[in-house]
Amino acid sequence: MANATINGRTVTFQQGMTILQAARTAGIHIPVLCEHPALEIAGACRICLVEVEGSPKLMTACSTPITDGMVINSESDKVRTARKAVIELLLIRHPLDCFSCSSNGKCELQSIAYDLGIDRSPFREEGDTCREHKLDDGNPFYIRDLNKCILCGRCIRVCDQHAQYHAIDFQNRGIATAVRPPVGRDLEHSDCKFCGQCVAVCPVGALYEKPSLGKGRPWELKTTKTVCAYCGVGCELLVQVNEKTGKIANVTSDHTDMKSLNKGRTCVKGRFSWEFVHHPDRLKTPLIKENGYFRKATWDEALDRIAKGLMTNMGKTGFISSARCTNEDNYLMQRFAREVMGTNNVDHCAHL
Amino acid sequence: MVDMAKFFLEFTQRESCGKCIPCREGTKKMLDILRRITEGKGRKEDIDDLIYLGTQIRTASLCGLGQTAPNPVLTTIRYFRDEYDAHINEKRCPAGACKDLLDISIDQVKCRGCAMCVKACPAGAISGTVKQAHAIDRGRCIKCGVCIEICPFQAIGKK
Repeated sequence: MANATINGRTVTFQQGMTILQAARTAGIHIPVLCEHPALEIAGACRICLVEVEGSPKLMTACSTPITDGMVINSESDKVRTARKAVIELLLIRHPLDCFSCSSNGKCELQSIAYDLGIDRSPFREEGDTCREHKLDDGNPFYIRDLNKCILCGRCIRVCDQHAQYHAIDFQNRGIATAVRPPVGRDLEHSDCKFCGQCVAVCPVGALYEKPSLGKGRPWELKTTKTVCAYCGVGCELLVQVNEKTGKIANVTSDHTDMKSLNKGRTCVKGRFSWEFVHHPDRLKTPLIKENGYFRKATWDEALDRIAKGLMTNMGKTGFISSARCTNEDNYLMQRFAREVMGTNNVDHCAHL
Repeated sequence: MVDMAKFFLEFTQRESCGKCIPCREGTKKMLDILRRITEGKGRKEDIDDLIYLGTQIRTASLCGLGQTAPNPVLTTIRYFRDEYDAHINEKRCPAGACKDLLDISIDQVKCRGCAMCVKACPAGAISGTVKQAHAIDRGRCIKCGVCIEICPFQAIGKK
């Protein structure tokens, strides 16, 4: 443990920490755009610049290791001017249609600009707004609006480091830079598996979930941590329910939750296939077939019927279990089949 | 000097990799402003904007390219500010380098009407009869300067 000073406050840190990590531990806020706690450092956005005593240049808090006795200022005039200039530059081309943007209210660019008192860039002129990219909504899972992309690279890094599909990367350079799948291919014909982790880490409205469109504003949503019911892995999901409608509006995950089994990773089903929850055709009670037709039944009635059926058919019954159950549940079922029911006819529907 | 600063910025803007925001967005905006100035559409606040942008791009950029890209602009403003002022306020290029601000004209006294410039002009912008002073149609002139070079009486000049 060692000590340094940030904004006049003495902070204690562990060796190997960056200035940003030490500041966060001490509860000091330094704004960032390209940095994400779950991803490797990029040092690209230059928002987290801080003044370090003895250094003529401003340093990026996200990539500079903090050392014993360092004196850091994250709110000096020089720092605030540089930070303001970077946001002003970013807002030259960024479309200001926050009113209709899905990320309105959770946009990190919006909140940094708000903190700095910037409503628009003084350098923005007519025709500067980025409109060169066509909206990419060719898949049923998420929409890519590259006009709003700030090129922080979080999506690329989460695809490389967490999803490990390496489906997207920067293309072209300078002002023409854009995040795309390999040259000449669209997303549907790339290595993208639509796991949507890029959507979860996007700081702006460049990537947003398609099933969530129009289902609720970020501030109307109540987030509940739950376990995905799709398969036996047990990924943790954050289900966001619109308190006005009482219905699910979005499903996302937390890449910073190191206690969770999946650490923010999900598959395409867990993140995007949740609309069945409110589907009118969804089965909500057990059904019993009588005279060729199904009728609704209670759980007690259904379980009684199953128990009776099993007892009268000892040794003559086959068992099919589900991939939606956990491994433990499936293990128990095959033991029940072999040891209690005396049959080896055990199968499994591995498709979901 | 303004044209030279624009030349350097065209280079750095082309070379910018696009990773960091100040260099990617800033050099583009500075170049936009410089282009505007050299086209005679400069505004009063442009010089202050260039100084502010240049200083902040130098401070905030990630690598040496961005940290030095604004230097040609900042130093030319520091030492040749009058040239920038002439471009913006008088729509005039003292160095005669900015084509859009150039005005080529024929000295009516010196011109002997030899018609060499009429034949040489690639845009057909010069008219006049032999042995009488010629005139340039400003609308058609492409400011290539061929007539200036070819005139045996040094009767054509640019301002």
